[in-house]
Amino acid sequence: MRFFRGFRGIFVVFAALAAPAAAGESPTPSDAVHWAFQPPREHVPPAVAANGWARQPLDLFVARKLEEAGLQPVPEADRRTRLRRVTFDLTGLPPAPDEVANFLADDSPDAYARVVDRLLASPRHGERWGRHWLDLARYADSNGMDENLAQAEAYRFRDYIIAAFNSDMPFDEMVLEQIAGDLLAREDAALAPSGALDPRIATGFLSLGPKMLAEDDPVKMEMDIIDEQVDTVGRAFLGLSLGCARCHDHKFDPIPTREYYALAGIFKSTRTMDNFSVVARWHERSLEPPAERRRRAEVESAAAEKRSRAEDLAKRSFEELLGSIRARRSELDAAARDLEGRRRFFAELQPAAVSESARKRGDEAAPSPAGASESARASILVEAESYARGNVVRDFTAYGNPIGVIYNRGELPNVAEYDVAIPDAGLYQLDLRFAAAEARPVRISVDGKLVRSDGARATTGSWTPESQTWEAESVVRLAAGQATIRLERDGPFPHVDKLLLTRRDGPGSAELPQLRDPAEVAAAHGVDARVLSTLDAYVASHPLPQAASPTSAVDAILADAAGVLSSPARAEPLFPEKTASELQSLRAEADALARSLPAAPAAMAVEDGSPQDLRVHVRGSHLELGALAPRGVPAAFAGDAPPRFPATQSGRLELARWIASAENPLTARVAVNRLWRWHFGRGIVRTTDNFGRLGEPPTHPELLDWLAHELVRQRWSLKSIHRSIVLSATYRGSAANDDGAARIDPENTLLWRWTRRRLEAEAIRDAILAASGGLDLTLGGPTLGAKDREYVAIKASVNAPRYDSHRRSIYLPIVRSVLYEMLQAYDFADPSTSNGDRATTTVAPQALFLLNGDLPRQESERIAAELFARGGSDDSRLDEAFERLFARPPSIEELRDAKAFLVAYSSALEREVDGAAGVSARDRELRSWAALLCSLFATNEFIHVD
Amino acid sequence: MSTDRKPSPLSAWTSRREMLRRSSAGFGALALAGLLSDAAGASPPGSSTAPTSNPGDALAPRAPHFAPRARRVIFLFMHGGPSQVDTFDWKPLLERDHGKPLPFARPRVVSSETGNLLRSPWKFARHGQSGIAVSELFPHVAGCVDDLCVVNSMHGSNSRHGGALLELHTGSDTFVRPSMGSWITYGLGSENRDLPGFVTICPALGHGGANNWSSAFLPAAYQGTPIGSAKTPSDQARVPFIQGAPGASRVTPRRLQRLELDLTQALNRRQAAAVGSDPLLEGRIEAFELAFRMQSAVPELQDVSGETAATQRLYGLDQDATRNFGRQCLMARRFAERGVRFVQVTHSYKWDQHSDLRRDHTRNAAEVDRPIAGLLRDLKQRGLLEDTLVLWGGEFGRTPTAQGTDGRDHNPQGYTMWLAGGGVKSGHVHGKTDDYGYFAVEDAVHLHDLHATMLHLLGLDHTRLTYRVGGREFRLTDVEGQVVRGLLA
Repeated sequence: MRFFRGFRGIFVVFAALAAPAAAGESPTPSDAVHWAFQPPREHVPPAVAANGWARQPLDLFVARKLEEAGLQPVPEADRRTRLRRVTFDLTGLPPAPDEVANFLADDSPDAYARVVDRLLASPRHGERWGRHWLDLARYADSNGMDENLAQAEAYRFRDYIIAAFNSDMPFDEMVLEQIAGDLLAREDAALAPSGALDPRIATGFLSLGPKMLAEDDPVKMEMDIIDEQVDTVGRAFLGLSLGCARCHDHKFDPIPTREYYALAGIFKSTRTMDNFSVVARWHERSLEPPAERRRRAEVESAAAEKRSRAEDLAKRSFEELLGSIRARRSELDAAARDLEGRRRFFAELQPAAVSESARKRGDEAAPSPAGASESARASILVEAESYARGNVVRDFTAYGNPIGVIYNRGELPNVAEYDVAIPDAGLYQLDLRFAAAEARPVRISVDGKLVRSDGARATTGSWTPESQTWEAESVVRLAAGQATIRLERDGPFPHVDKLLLTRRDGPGSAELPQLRDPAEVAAAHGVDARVLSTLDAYVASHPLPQAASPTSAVDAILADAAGVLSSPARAEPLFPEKTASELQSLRAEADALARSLPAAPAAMAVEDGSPQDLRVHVRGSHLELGALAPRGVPAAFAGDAPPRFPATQSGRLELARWIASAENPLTARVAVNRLWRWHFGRGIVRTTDNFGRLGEPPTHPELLDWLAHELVRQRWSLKSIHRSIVLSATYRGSAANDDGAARIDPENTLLWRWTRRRLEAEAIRDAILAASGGLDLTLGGPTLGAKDREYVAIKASVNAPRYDSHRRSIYLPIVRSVLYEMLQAYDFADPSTSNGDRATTTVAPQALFLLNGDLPRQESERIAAELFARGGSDDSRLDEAFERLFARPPSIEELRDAKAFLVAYSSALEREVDGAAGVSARDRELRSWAALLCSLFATNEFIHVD
Repeated sequence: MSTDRKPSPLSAWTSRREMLRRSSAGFGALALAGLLSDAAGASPPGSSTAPTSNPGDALAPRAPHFAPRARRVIFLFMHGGPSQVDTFDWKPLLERDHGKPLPFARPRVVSSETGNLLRSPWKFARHGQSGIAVSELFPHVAGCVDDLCVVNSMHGSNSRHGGALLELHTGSDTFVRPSMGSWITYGLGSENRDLPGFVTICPALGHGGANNWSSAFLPAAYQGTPIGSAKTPSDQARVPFIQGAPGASRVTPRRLQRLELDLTQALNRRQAAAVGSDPLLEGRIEAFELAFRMQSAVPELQDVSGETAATQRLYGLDQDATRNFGRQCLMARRFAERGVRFVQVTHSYKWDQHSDLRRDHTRNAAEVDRPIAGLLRDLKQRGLLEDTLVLWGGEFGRTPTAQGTDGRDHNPQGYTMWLAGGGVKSGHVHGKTDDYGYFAVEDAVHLHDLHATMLHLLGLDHTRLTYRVGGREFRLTDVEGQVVRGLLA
């Protein structure tokens, strides 16, 4: 046991500063005023017999309780254990092997204290402790609830919190800024160079809550949003369940409904939303400096001017086009009639007569030209997945099981292009075989010429092979040599299985009509070929009524309000080339201007609305209003000089100052208790978010009060409280069990030992990446990958947030109601409510993640490859693996286990998987090592802190 | 074989089902179970007023408050809001007064403006011995009508999908609260130790998403386990991080994975020997074994290829239109049969016909009618219907007034859900809407009442099934809810 050195002097100073209240005189729940509603008392750290154990004043409070219970603290944990513990605790990461080596080699008395200073100064500290605060701020990158819209600007709040913790912003300032940062009148003065600490961003705390954005009753929506704000402020800063007073006077704490509405009035006077319609918009505040805002307006108006010129030009060209069509009405109608035979031929075209049974099986072999029968040579079968160029997926397992199809991969337009060898010149019919649950017609071109604009147009009943159908597409004249067939669609493809070319000349080919090209017909009639094609397509899909005689296709298309000629935008493909290119360049210029502007920085933040008081809502209903409740704070904690609320402002600033005051009985206590909870796994008050009468009483009331005063004395510096705690003897104890102590205090309420803890979800993931060397330590910035206010994660294929980044877990997208499964499995706090505590459960999905997850598998391979690249013996590799993962070398028994595993695994691999496939011994060895590392990641030791 | 069963519920169990439940590999402690609910978390069930509990094993079966009529629930959720006046709530006056204005006031808050009364495009006819009227949209379900308990007087409080889904699933459209499946699993534990207690097959990701199957403040063990999502075809739906699921793309052969797990466990035991007994560590050792077993148990249950051709046909697996939903229903039976407490099957977001009512309600009904009837018949022939509560319905109904010429708006004021099996009356209609089917006017059943009744059928008193959070006792029905005696057999 170490002895208390050089500390007594400081302790005397503390004692002298302390107020005269006697140690041990703690308020009890039976007092007329609940303990937490009285100001914290100044307690002198008690004198204890075993004060040689103590290292910090706080230890004396702990020692006193242990003495009273007849308990001895356990000995200090060993140095490796302490280093791993404090490193995870202060930064959320494991110590690197060289950090372990340095610490073990440093036998100066302040070696541990210097480690603590290094960790507190590391940017990793804000990422660790900022995340704890984000639980309280119910931080998320999407709204959740009914309308899960992206909160793409929320990350600025996350980065603000990380920066605030890293810079040790005094906690009272953090409170002020999160409630009323916008009212502090120092918008530009106090900014950090990165802009991360803009106090307007801090008010995102009030905006980030989940909201029912599609509530049909706007008054209810607004009151629900206000309620969420009141409740979150109450829980996070005061440890009070204020929301309980919405419908009736608080049943246990002194908060009458009138005072709930007095608080609610402050938020009613605050602008959180732009509107309350369906779907409602939350308010965002521009962070752009005025000069840049002006420049943005100029560029935007220049772009708008170009767009309006393009629109005028399109309108003029449209009128000219209509004029020219009307002028050539009879020629166009005649030309359209000339094309009818061709159209009918295509409409009646049947799939070629390949062997019926083969077609049903769908497994025709590609005929080989040489030595094949006449009929086989006459047809050329092409597997869809054999395309030479394209961007669609070749699939043999899901939709193409087991035959192979192509379908969409998300990149549009979809294209597949085939080079087909043509043995003999002649006429060929082209057929496609495909499955489509909805019509997805494709454009088919042969050698650059469009031969069908609605190929593969049928619906077959499903996307899967059993509904595949042949469809005749076109008849084309091909030269001997190579033909290029191109399938293209602006949207996703149908699921195409095969293409078939069949000779159509020879016997029976005389029946084929003159396949006169529309261009030739147009030339013969002296009309525009594009207009004629459009007309032809129109007639094909809109048969003219027989009765109307004489019929005019031109009249019909001109009269069609939904047709190609109904608007300039629809008719644009028919504009002259010169107009088209002029339009294109005007639009491109406008787009370029718009693109030249960086996205305007904006934050989810509040500002003052119109100051007003609310009436009491009887039983919480906005339909039944009671007496006026002037804005104010609950009288029971208001103190001697309750804040006065101005008529000209919301009152958030007054509320914030009242909360952030050293006089407030709750704020400092609640804050230090949160630090204690995250250091020791349990708060001095176990119900971290409820200090009211239904919360649990503190296990160490004097200690809690002492820490609260200490926070104020240290000018609200959280880092100084962290330092006191992690340097304490209480914190440094071993996790070793002691049967005698365990009988007296099985829950370790009195802190006679260190309570072993499982790492949080984020720390588990980060530790895997840190151990593998794959961790990306970039700080801050947007990571959601969705546009502001767009729907997230509703479709599996679109907007799916990505979790395969190697950034620290705090930067993973937090999508409410579709939380990343890994975080969900490991007890991530529900991001829809403020949480000062997390559960630790043991559920099977946690094991499934470590058994099968891509992350542990990939990172295991990364380490294995690195260990091998460096050479060395199995023993030295195992040494390094254990140091990386556990911050210690393996024991002899563990070395034996590991080596036996490598042998067994490698031979099982040979037997079970690779067999005769001829995988090299070295590959098997690498795979066995990767498997070994995966097994190590899955151990209890890896994810627990002793 | 059911004739020798005593009328008293749950007294006699067919040995076949007992055998099925026990036959899954292992049967040690729990699979998707929360083995431990750490002291640092919210108060464990034992400290609260859950009927009985075994601390340390969150999913251990627990005795209900009183003798139950049902032991499990299958919820067939029709996401979007099927129209009651076109399915199970026949309104001759709507037919007569088609095109006329609604003769009474609309609710204060509506989702959209609607016009005059719109008659149903479908004919109704009376079916079965009970003579309950069903529209021609559901010919197969109509054939099971004598097993149904049709509640024509449902009502809720929210006229938007998101709010209404949350209210239906969690009882609250204002706050994030545990799902009814979580409450039920919390109250009763699980009957199968290789499977989760609460499974939701192909759930909707929108309109509240995971909040509709989340355990919220209840321990994670009571979370619903999603199998795929609404965007996954049911034959490709997977449990998170099971081999082949997104984020777990590598497949490690079972024998190799066993070797890996053996090494992990060997190291775990060495550590346990060094640091002494710790339930936190021991629970985790067990959880890995259970996950390993579940890895074969769940896919085996999802694989319906071993079902007879007749059974597959019964659920419509032989037809394109019904295959996807039919597979979901068949999986639901397989999960229920193995003791999963709450199985939800979602026909996602298809029933929202603001327009194209004729076309899309026809299509939707065609997709679900045969599978649902198949499920009811199959449960019945296996003797499972007696203690399985089947619930059918959407998040609300639709207005009898027209949106456009061929559509209806959302209507939470009065709509139909039906129940079957598990202690409810059969061949029975409960409650009424007005002459046109807008408002529930007789024996109205609020969603809170439905929840209270479901818990009652499972042997749970909704006022006593509570969980303490932040100093307050919470329950599924908040401060509301009445058990609807009229539904009980």
